[in-house]
Amino acid sequence: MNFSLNEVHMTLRKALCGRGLAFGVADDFGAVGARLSSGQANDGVGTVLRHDNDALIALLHRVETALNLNPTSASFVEPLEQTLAEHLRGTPFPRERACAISEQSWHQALELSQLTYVPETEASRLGGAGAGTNDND
Amino acid sequence: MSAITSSDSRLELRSPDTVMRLERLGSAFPTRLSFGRSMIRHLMADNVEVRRTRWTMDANGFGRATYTLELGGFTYSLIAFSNALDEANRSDRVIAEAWDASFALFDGVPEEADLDRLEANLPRQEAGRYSEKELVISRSNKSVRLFKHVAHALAEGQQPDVDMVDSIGYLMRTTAVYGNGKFGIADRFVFSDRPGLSGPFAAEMLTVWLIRNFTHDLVEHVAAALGGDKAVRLDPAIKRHMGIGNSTGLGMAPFLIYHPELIHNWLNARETAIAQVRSIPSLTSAQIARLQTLLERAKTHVSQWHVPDAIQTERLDVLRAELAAMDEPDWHADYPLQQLIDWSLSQSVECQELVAALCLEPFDSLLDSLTDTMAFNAPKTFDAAQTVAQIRAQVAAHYRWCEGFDLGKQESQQRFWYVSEAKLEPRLGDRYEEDGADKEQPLDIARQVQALMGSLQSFDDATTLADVLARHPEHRNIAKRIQAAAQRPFAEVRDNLIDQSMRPIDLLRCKLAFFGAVKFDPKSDLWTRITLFQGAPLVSELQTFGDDWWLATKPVVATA
Repeated sequence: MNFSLNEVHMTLRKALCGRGLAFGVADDFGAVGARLSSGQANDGVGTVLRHDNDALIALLHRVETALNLNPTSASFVEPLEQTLAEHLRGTPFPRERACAISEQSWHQALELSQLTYVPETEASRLGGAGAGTNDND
Repeated sequence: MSAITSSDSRLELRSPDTVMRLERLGSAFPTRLSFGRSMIRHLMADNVEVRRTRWTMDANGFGRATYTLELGGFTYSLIAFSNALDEANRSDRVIAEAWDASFALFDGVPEEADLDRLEANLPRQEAGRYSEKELVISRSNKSVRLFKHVAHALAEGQQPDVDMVDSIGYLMRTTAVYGNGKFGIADRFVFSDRPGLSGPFAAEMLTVWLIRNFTHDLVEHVAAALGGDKAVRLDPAIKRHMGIGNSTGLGMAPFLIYHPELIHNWLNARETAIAQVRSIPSLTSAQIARLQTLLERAKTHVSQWHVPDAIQTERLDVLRAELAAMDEPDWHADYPLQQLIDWSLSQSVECQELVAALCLEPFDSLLDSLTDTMAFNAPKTFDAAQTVAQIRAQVAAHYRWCEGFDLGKQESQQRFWYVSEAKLEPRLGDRYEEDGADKEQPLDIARQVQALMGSLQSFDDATTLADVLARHPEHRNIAKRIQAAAQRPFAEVRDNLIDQSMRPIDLLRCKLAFFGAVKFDPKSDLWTRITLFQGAPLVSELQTFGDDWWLATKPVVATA
């Protein structure tokens, strides 16, 4: 199965929010996971999800601080750091679809995403969207 | 026309404190910059011909169809599947699981294998899986009343009742139009640099315009099957007045808030256009004649806009009265459009926005290039080296509007935006009555700004945002927004989006007006129906009809 990069970004963002990571950080790492996943080689979703929330926040701080000191010359070794730096520098998104995300990683992301959804109730079904459920007119 | 000589630096845009309030956004009208209009202009400029390349429909109008066209050197196809639908399942909500018809805008010409693959997926919409060849997917439900009426009238050799066509406006309404990678379809960047599809929602607009054409063909097909030799085709004027409907709920509102850079570009283009026409010193006689015609058309359009919603009806009653009482504008005055727009300031907000849209309409060569500025394709950036002092200064300069909300009051935080687990339908809840506020979507901008400012009190002015956000990652979202808004005055909706009195429908109308929607038909504060492409050229008319279809009016058709 292959994925569009935007669905990887959005799904991973939701998964990280579901895991309790703040939205603004989750959005960055959703994009980083999508960038990393572009092409045939990398499971960027798995790579990001293997780091816990504190580790992601610390990583972001480390890379941003390094970029603050050396905006153009700071260099990074780990693929996740490198991709995060590309993201923070505003490098254009890669163009290839994500072809190497494992089933397990994607499933994990979807499971975590579920935690951002509010369980269905009759009241919310009837009142929450402001419309009826039948449109035969 | 008279140029606005060396005047760009003199252009004075309306203040974002005025423009970005919900009441005004919720009074928006389509303009010549709307995406449906610019899409049609692209089709006209490129001499596009739409060919119906497949039509396999049974007598009831169930089956498959494809249409193909070339635009900007690329080939695209609309793929349509029409299915029988049990009335019990006909719902415009996201929670629906079946529709009358489903569609894809396909990149290229589909093979039979593509059609078979999509026939197994498209009718299931969100439950299906798609490829990079699908650029947009959509689905639609019939207006049962109008579809039946038109099919039966045509079958009997009669044209449909024009009043009914006008009051409903469409044979089908789309209930979602998905783009940008959803469910595996192509990312937007696949086509965002292609001629004709680079504008915001351009691929979606092309899809919807083609769906409109499909609905016309479908009703004529059903009528022919019903009536045989007796059946007639739609009068082109009536057909042209049949747009394509859309049913829209809360999902559109978070989109506006999550894309501040894009929304700024939309509003900035429109506001620049308004400022430009205000700066025109005098009008030619041809421009005056055009404005007079357009003003009469606008009055007629508004007189034909009737909806059941009490609030919108009241607003329309006021608007009609204002237009009826309006003196003939002094078209020969100095800066006549500035005078007209200034006159409107004493009228309702609906009237103000209608007059502004009217004033843009005649000025194609002056304004149409502004549509090139309305997309936002650049990667978002964030300056973590910025200091606490700098972010405080930006808040002081660009978020003063937040200070007006007393977030200590219960009603100021009454509502919360969330996504239901039921097919991920976006919904709005009551924070004090319902569960789920712990899963709230971050649309509480004013509250986030105030929380950030509270946290900043414990940091020195010289501390970098990187250091602040390492300790307070919960503020990263709003810090990004503040930086984006500092460069973009129209990035933020300057209202409290969780207030008890907030009407989400205002956000929906703003976005839909930028699409080109007319005949807003609110079903509640959270939900609206609209019509797109009413009066727009038919596929056979791209070279003959022109770009003159702003606020279409009911066609006058000779009766037999």
